[in-house]
Amino acid sequence: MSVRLDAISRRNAAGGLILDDVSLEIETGEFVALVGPSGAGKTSLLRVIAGLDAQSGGTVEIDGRDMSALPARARGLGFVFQNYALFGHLSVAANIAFGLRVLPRSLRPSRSEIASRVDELLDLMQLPGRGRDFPAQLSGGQRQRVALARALATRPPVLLLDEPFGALDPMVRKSIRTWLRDLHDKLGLTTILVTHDQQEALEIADRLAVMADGQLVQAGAPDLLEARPATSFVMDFLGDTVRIEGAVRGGVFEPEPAFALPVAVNVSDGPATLMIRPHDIDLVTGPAVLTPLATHGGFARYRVGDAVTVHVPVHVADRVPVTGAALDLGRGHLFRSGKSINTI
Amino acid sequence: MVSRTAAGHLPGFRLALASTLVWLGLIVAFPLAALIARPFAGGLHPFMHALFDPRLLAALRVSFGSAFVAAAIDLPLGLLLAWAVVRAKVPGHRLMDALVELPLALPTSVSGITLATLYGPRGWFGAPLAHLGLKVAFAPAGIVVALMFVGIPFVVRSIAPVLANAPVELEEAAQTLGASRSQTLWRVVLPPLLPAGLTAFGLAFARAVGEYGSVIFIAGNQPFRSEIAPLLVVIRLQEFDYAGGAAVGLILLLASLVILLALGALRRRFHHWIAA
Repeated sequence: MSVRLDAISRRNAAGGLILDDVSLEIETGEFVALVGPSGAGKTSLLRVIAGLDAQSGGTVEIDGRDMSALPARARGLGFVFQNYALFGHLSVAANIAFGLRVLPRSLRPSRSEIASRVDELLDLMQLPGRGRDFPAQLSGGQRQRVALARALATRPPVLLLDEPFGALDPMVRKSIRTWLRDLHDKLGLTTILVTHDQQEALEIADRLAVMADGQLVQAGAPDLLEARPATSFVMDFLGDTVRIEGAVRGGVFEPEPAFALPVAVNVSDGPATLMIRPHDIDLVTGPAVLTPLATHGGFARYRVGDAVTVHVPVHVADRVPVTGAALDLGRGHLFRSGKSINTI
Repeated sequence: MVSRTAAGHLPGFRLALASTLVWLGLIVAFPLAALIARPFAGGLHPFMHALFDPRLLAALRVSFGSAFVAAAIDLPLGLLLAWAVVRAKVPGHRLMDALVELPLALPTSVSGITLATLYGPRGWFGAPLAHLGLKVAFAPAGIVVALMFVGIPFVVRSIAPVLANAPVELEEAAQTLGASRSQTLWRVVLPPLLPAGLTAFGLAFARAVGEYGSVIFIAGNQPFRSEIAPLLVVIRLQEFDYAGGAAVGLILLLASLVILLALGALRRRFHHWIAA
């Protein structure tokens, strides 16, 4: 089901603006990741969508229905908490069945229907036969899947996940990520995931919504954000960057460092910052001293001058000039006061 | 070889444990042993005689009965108070928090006399209650009131820390799963408090069974009706019936032990609840 956020704002108890005019539309079946550094407002936004916190302004629409005034219990969305929030006094099966058991009598499935739904979910979560255990007896990854099963038991159309992988070790994280994406596709869910790990978001989501200081900076598919970052923050957040200060004069960006070549651009004169991924830099023959660094992840790394690190794919590393180098920044992005002023 | 047990890690553990056990023996086990031996000093007969004394049986019924009722009433009241102090943070909750322990600091005779005055026929509470035909002071109900007063700090102090540490996410999770307020309360908030509640009940109950000072001023102390077992000990001693007094003490001790053991066993059934 589609989720439509219109001009959401929220103030905390002290009056500080923690969500500032956030508008975002999420299509049915889409997997969207809310990303940003700590304190960006990702979790606050998720809690507003869930109805756990009230917004100070704006509306939350789910499938065309205004949910703004409804409490969490009436919204029928699945929510997985960062620390799982399993009920320690209930067995795994009773945790999963919770959402079904609290339904009004007229809507509540029979005991046997609930039991078979629980078994079905335990199988889906790869936890067959663990229904009688208590949460304290499970590992972190298992608790996570129980929390997910509990959230899915009532077949919510929208699944909200708050840093669901935060407490898992890196190996488990990687496998559960792929598995979660498969589950999303298999069940036809609409999923909103909060994470501060951009790598995770890029890997799992159809679309990223990058947040900073309570505002939505840019939303889009990973390749769009990569190709057209709206601000230097987005560019910085999504991966390693090299930042070159300079100025535009007469349609040419003139970098401050002598070992970087000028770039022809189509923007007005004035100071500008060029940002580029280390692997997008081409090395050509020039004046700067080239210091080889350790090879890592298929990239040979060099330091050019005294500050810039360049990543060159290993299979073309033999083309790197050895006598001295200059940077060709033709694939970079130009920003002025933090905002994109492409194009190069 | 160095042992890797707890004893191995704690410096001076053996010496400390030994001196603790000697100390414990002197101040707890030794008097208890004396209490167990004393009733039989004159042979079995005086003990059996004291044991089946109908006045003693009535006093035990009053003591355990009122202690049970008082602890049972204290439990929900103490829960509410704990909630007000640690969760709702009502205005003045810091003062309330300090006041909770006052019944422990007050000399029991002072609380007894105060309660007897308040609930007496001309007291602030007693007069309106008497108007309704309810007699509290100098009646069995008075015993319960006094025992509730001395027991409530134990309930609040047992439950408050558990309540304070209960994660709010559990209640939020219940809400997102569609639970109403009352379903959240009964299925999510209260069950994890059960072990602490049993401890609270046990402490309030144990304190109430042994309470003497505050009760005798408000109970009226009529044999067979509002006479508590600890008072009977004093009465027996005044009659120079030392075996009889010791027998009452022994029975109080054994009965309390059995009840506390049962509560402990009940509490251990929840060990697998340790919060995930």
